[in-house]
Amino acid sequence: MSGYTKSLGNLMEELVKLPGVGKRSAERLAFHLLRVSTEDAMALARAIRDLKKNTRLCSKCFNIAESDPCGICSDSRRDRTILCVVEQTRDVIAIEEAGTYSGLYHVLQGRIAPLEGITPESLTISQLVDRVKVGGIKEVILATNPDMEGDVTANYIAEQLGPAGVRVTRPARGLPAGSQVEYVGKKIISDAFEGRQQIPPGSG
Amino acid sequence: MAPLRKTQGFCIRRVDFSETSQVVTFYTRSEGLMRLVAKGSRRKKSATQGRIDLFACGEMVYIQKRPGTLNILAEFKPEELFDGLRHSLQQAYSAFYIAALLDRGTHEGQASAACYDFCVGMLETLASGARADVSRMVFEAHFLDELGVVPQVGRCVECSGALPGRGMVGYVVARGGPLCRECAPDDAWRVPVGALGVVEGLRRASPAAAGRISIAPKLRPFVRDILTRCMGHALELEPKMLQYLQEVRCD
Ligand SMILES: [Zn+2]
Ligand SMILES: [Zn+2]
Repeated sequence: MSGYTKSLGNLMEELVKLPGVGKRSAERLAFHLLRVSTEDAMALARAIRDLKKNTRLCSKCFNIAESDPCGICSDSRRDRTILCVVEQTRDVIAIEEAGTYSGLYHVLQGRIAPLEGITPESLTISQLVDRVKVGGIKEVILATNPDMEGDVTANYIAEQLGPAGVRVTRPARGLPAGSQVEYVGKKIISDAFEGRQQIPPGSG
Repeated sequence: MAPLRKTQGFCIRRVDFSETSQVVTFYTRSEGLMRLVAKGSRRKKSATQGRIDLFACGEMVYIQKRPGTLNILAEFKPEELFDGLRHSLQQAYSAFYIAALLDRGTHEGQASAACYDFCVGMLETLASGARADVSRMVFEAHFLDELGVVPQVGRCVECSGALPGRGMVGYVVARGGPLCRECAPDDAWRVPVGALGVVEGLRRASPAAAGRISIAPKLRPFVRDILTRCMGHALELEPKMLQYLQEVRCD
């Protein structure tokens, strides 16, 4: 980025890497940071550093956490016989906000999307199967998004869980087709969990 | 304001653009590949009835913008969602593969109603549970035709001489066909003559017939290889991209 000082150019180069930030916005943000107080700018720098230093994936559920196991996995009040499988951490947050689910989670870290190079092996499906095999879990709720990739992923997991003999369910179709868990309302999430339906073994 | 236009299409790609909109790629009957902004498509109540799902197919109303800018999807009511694709990884992968080939192999403004109808037929066939591996080969053979690289089968591509009725013949992907004994260099890739006949049969098959075709196990790997090599050559694709779709074994 010629014409800028080295530090300004460096910062802009990092900012354009962020989603939704183009050259123009990067310039605007960089000049903004130049103007704010050193304290405010440093607070942002610290927040980014802490985020990277303190967050890890929970080794049990693969949710983003600051401790391992995460707060949900280590909470003794949660129902350990039921597991809710979601695509990403933002879905956990949405379901927690709805406030009716009290079991544990398993975060897949994505969904099957071969066009983006995401195959079952790139997700935490084998870890899920291992988790269920250990025993103690009676029901697995497959709360992947109700769209093509989410449905394919759910059906594939149901197939993999077949031999384990647990009850495998999918939230009711109250979630509109093609929607995303993280964007639907609390009431809809609660209703969908309430009316979840069993995926019969061998239907995958 | 630009006039509203109507066509039929199905979604082959979608990228979340903002909290409320998506950029979608449709394969359409009258315009071929089309990229559009679907505003409000991630909200529940919008003219496009929620987020647009992959392969959702139906009538679309759009505002055509000047070339180089994205069209706007004003209305979309999917009539077919190909639900059967959701139940098996093989069926879904084959549909994803069709989407990838359309995205890579065609461009905006390159319309073919016949190709569109064929694709919709193929998605129906796959959704109905027809064998994914053979269905995929039928699509590939047909799509190579669409790309103008029909694998020539009857005669030598060098001298137009007749091929032997049986045994192995040389095959040159870059030339799009087989070579007779005289023309084939010693190090030529060789395939059974019978495999060439199968490729021709696949090319002529209708989507509905795709599930009923059976290929002799001896010829199958050669047919698979001819199609993969021709497709890779036609689309200038690394074999990697084609390979990972074949990682899900359908046999
Ligand atoms: Zn955890
Ligand atoms: Zn010849």
